[in-house]
Amino acid sequence: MNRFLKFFWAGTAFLACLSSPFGAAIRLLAITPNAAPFQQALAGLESDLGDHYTIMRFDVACPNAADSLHGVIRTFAPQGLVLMDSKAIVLVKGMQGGGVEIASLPKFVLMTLKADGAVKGLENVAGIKFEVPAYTIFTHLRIISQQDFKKVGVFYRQNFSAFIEESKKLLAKEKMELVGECLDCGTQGRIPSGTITKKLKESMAEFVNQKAEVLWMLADNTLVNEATLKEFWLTVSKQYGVPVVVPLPNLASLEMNLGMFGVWPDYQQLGVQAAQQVIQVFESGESPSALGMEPLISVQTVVNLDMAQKVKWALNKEKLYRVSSVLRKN
Amino acid sequence: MICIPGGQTPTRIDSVFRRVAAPVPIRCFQRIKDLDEALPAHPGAPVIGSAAYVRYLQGYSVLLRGKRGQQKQKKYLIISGNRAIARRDVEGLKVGVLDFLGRDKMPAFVKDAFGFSIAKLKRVSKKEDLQSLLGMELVDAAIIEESDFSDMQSDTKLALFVITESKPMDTFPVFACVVKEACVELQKKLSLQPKSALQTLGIEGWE
Repeated sequence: MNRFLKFFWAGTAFLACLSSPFGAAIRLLAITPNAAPFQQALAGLESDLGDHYTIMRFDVACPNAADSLHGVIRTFAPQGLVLMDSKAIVLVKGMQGGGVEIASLPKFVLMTLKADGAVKGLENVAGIKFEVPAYTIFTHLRIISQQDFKKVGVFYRQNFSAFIEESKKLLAKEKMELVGECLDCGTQGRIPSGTITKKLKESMAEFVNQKAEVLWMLADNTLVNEATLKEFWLTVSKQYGVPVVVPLPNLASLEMNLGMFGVWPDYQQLGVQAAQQVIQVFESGESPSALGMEPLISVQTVVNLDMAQKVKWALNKEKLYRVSSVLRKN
Repeated sequence: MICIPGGQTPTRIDSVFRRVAAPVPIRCFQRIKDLDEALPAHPGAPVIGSAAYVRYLQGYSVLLRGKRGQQKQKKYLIISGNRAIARRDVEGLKVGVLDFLGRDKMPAFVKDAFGFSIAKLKRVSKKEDLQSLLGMELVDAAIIEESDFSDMQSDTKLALFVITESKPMDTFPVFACVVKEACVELQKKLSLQPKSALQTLGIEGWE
């Protein structure tokens, strides 16, 4: 069992915690929000790294975070940093050149698709973008489907353009075409709030014209919110007979009756994936920059059989064991 | 304690074997690391897991060995979508593998199976993840069970090919105990299970 220290900054009280237990283990400081997905990822990281590493956690939400972190880095003297989500990155960026040596430390970043931009200005960075890649989503759907499918529709905003272009290239390898409708590319990234549903409906008509067989819902609060759920998303499958692939399990629940297939990150395995980058750097001597930012690999999945039946999507029953959770009424 | 990484979900295995094992409580794990961490709290608990894993468990004896048809051992393949890769290149490449032994033991297993070491093994916990690794070019090659190759080919449009194959390996699930006498009842129940139940463990019978 690795020595894992839950650490919440409390003045100088932490000094007592840092006095002796670290031994020769490699010291990592994980700067992270206290939210469940990050804690699961941290648990996966800690579990995979084992006794050879000591991981201290620093909560980004602690009072006077910058000053506190300064003290922790000086005292704990980490050999690497694990930065989870944007606040952690901003915090560390702000400390560069501030009296503690940050630049030379290997950094392992876990965050969503804006990670590439967020890490600009940081040196020695590897990490994982934990937006689920389209490749993973649709190859998983193909595994459990009896019918092959070739055309996937997606609504997106300008901010997601790079992700969509990358997704198109990867899906092309699997002979799938991603048909994207950017809702704000012609308006400099702005969509008046009252017009989103109208734009979604107009673009849906375009997907129908282009014979998109599946609709991919991105995890984007602007396009998926209370209003658009009610006025658009919840009606899509019924109105157009097209299955929706969703980014959260509750959107594919029997109660919600929206998504046919749900895919979201396996956060514990995300931590294991990050642990392997840590191992490559500290035990195989690879440079973090050479590893770069990887896409997330492991996911959790759910299939809603009632919805599949409604949209007449034939599933391969022998392959359903490969889905994390299979839902059906009764 | 049951752990069959890359196979049926722990929930599915639990649903089949909970009734079989009763009144003995069971726990199912997806990752070998989770089983590793749970075992010290349940010393001597009967285990169903890969033979390659169980042989590292001190004090355990194998009471039942799983088989598929008449097959008692499995071969593994190193596959890739890049036809330029030859067998001699593999040692220096990034290779994905389903982790059924844990971080410390997988490299030794791979060396034993193929006769050479692979320094950059990328471990995953689900078979599907190997396809993602190959498709997104996060690895150059992947190690899979020979019996999974045709399934994998039908699941993807990537043109996969076999670089090399392993010698036959003892990796089918086994049932193992520390105190044999205490496991007699459970051994009997397991050996009476129909093929459909045993298939959730990736086997068709015991010997």
